Amino acid sequence: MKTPEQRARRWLWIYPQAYRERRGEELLATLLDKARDDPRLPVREIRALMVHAGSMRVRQLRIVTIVLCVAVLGAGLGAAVGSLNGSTGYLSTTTVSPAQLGYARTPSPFLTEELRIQSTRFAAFRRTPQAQALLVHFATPSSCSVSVIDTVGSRGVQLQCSSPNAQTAHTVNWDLTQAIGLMFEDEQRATFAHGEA
Amino acid sequence: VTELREPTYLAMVALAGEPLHGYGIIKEVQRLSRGRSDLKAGTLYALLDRLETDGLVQVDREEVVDGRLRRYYELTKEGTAVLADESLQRSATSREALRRLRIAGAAL
Repeated sequence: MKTPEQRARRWLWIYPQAYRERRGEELLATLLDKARDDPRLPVREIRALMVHAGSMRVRQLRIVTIVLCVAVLGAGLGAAVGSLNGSTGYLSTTTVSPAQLGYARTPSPFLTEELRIQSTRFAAFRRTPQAQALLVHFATPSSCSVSVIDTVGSRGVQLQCSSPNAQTAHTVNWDLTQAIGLMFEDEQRATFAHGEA
Repeated sequence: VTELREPTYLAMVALAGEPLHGYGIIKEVQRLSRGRSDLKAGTLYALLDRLETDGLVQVDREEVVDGRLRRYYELTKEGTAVLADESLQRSATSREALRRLRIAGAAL
């Protein structure tokens, strides 16, 4: 027979990993406090957990979808601009903001600056172990270089990538967006964990 | 914030007195609603996430009791202002309801 803790822990697995790391132990403590009143995990309690965890997962999915849409649009626009300019290379432009990564609902100069630092670091130190691991993970071709990285007001960071062909520019910009997003999330998570400790 | 639903409002009222941890909020909401509202843990943390994101609630402190993490929450200044505004509105609506019921001859 399972203990209340084993039952509660099993249900926490329906939450996204990032949320479990942030709130898992606290949520578990609350569930176990409630279990003192009723050692079973009532169906309505489970339903509320499933609804909450579901909304967390949908939110996570939405962020990925938005980033994907922005990257595709940016790549298309960049390729179009490049061909109009008669350039020999293709240019892919993407804007990434903390809001797209789920960190600020309103424009945040502070988080944008954090994101800019991450992007610059990524562009400048592509040979760092972390960057290399991400590059391997996303299979980014090494022939492409990031030519411009700049902030767009306090809304986000603009990435531009030029490449001899449109497909590479598109792929690299998409990979960059993903990689920088992950680095930014890691940094925020680390900052959050450090703040909690 | 355009609307505070009942569980959110009750949780904010619970936090108006003193910082509370998750289970403390649930018990206080039960008491405030005279047992009518049984806040589920999933519902509580969904509304705490929202209130934190909106800047109405913040973490006051953390404690480890019996090896379990307890995070205490408190209202922010903005949260206090929003709660005060909502309470005044609700109070005015209640007074008006009672006035109309008296006129209608309802036994109160």
